[in-house]
Amino acid sequence: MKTPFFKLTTLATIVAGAVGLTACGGGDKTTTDSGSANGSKTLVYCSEGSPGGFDHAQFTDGTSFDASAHTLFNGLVEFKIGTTELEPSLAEKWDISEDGLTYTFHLRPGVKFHTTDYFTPSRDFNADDVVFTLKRLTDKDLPFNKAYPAEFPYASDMALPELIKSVEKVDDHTVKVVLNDVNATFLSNLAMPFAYIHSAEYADKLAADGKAANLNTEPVGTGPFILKSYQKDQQIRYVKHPDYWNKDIVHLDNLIFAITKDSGVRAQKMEAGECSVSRYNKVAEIEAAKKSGKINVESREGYNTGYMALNVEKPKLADARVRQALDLAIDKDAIIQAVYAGAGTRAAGLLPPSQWGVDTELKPSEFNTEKAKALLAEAGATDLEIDLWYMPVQRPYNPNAKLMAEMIQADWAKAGIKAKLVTYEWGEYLQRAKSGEPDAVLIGWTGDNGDPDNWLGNLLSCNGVGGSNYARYCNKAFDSLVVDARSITDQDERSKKYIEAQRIIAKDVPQIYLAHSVTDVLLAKNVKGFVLEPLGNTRFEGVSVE
Amino acid sequence: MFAFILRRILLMIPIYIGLTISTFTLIRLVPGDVVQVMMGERTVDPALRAEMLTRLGLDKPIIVQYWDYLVRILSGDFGETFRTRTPVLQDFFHHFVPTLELAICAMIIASIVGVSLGIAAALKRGTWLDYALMSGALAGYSMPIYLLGPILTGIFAHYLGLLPVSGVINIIEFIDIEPKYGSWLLGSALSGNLAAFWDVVKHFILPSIALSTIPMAMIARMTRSAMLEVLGEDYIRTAKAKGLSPTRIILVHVLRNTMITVITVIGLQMAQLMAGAILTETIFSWPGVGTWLLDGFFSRDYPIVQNGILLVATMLMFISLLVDITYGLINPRIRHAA
Repeated sequence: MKTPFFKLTTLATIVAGAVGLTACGGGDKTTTDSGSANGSKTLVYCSEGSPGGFDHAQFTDGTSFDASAHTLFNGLVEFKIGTTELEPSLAEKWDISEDGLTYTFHLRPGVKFHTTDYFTPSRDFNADDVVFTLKRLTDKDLPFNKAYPAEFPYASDMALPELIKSVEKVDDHTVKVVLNDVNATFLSNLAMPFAYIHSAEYADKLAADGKAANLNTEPVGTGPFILKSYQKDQQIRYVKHPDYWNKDIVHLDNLIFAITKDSGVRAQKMEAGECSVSRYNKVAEIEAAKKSGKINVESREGYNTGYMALNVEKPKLADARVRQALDLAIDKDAIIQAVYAGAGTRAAGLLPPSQWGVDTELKPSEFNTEKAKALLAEAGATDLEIDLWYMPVQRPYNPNAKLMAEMIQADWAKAGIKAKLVTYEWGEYLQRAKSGEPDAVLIGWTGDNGDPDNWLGNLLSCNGVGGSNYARYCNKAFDSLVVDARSITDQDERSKKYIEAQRIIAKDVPQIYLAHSVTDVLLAKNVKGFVLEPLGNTRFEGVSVE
Repeated sequence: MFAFILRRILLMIPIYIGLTISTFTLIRLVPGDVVQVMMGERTVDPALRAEMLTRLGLDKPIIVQYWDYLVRILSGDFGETFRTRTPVLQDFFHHFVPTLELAICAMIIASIVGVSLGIAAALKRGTWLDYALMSGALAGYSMPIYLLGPILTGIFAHYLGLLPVSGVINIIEFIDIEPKYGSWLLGSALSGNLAAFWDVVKHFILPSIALSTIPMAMIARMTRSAMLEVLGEDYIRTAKAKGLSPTRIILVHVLRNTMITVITVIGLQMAQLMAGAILTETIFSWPGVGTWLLDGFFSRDYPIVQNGILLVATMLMFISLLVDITYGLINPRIRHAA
């Protein structure tokens, strides 16, 4: 039945299609390089997720730190860009008493807090801000903590509440911090983003207005950028802090975090010129970016280690010869090629090569199935059966734990070791692993503060059993070296202790060291001065667009 | 009609109770420790864990937790998210607006194209055009979004460079544009900047098309079969016998009765769209309720999952009620039966 209406519907269909096609074809090319927007310098960073908020003290994830601490705040001391070395920031200098218990910080004068729509500071940064920030992390009875109860997991993990005895304002530009024990890691811990300085004046105003929770949503810091607007899961907009105390290193007028959770989409946006910086991309995306040649790819060895913890409390793994055999039976070079796609380096020990205090004489263990068999026979551990746990998630230190576990299973089978592969949901995995359930568990660590204690103390000391010491290794000789090293302020002396400690674990094999992964960043061709940070932070001081 | 609406609203009560029980229970049955997920590889100090559990209200017996949750919901308090500590309701609306905009755009495309194709196929029944359209519909229905999305992006954004890859606006070019009530379409339109509005529209094209294919195929097939059924009715034969023009027969008699079925399908497809939106949002980095719920699930953010699903369900029930009312208005038999 041919009808006018049929013509009409056909026409409607054509029109609908045409509208789509017009839309597709009607626009200009949408690619826009970060650069000048209305004559100002703008950079778009394709960030990987939304921050938990802007009160950095409450969080433990890099995504939150990048969006808050590194853009909006400063620490008393900070890590020098691109290194794990400490440098003065809001504290111009500091003195440490003879007994190592009293730290006197001399504060930088003339530092301005942000002026925003929601707060106009009446004074410059001073000692009150330092006292407030440190007391908030360590004193539950602080009135602000009553007004806005929150947990500070990093401060707790670094034992700051137990370590800090008192924080006193000496004068407007001097603060004295007294510790309960000598602890050489204290300054490194203060350089971590969780300890960056809040404005006491702003906190008082919020508490007085009954809006203390706004500390997490409407931040006021001293940092290089000011928060302009935030749409959760969409974008964060920052503008340059015009009165920044270190303004020579801020070259961007606008900084935008375009929140893009899917790494494939981030890579596409980089190719399309919609973003200028992207991190945490998959190996295939990195390779594709290198091939396309449209964007730059920069890499550096990650400040991380992927390893397998062997539960020394399990009778079958109690003998060091068995643990050594398990280590010898793994072809780690093949793992580097297959799991890390070549973007990884063999790990000789727990500490990454860039970490001071690393034992440079340690060599990566060999791959020798026959030797492994002989050791197992010697230890009477034939017919060994191991539950090998692999992580359900991709982590910076291990891009594909399942594949890694399968390869290890095949290698061990050649040495007569049966491995049963086990995995759980991530939170469950960590919880069970910490309780000592697995025989062998694939895990890893990314350093927090550039200090060897952050590795050896957390991952192998007796105190860490039930926590991040998945091997449940507790060796008195090793422990006393690590504990002693904490109370020595001379770095060379500490290094000696740590090298000795590393030699003990090389013999005991509580962990099998697999790889240090390589971290990459995709950069638009016109981005200059971006530095991949060893500690994994994303910082935009010193970055410019041409 | 009033009794019909009232009965539908009363029916929602047991559905709500069921929903609160199921979401509350299911998210807790999913393995994974809330505190550990928040802390990652870090060691969780027992005192800190206790402190966090107390603040999150997870230290009480399950039954007490459920009761507290019910009491809070009844008083209109949907709580705060665990991670960001922002009100769930505020978070929900912030994410729901983009999803609704996307779903409406997708539904408009699906309805216009689907109905047109369905009518064309019905009128040309048994011809090559009919077979071609229905095969196309089958292909559209079978094509998963996670495959179609990247294909569309690859062709139109990556290869041809005609459309943006993802997001909602070119943030560099239109740096001063802000969303209004969570809507970029509204924000850009009210700014008076036509170029910005057009840019937002362009950002909508690919995700809307990707999301529209399944309902479009469904609507096309249902329109065709409903129309064929109506065309075979006695009253159509009578109309023809009375000498009414074909256009009048189709517009007045066939389409009206066909629409009863089509509107139902469109209403039902809205629920499907919400499910499809989760995938589409992930692929296109769309800041909608789908990605929000998924993130909440993976981070074991109980308030997001419990209350988010409840709020989504409310919206869907509201849409379903609207469909039923429209259906009743079009079809008097439904009204009278009610």
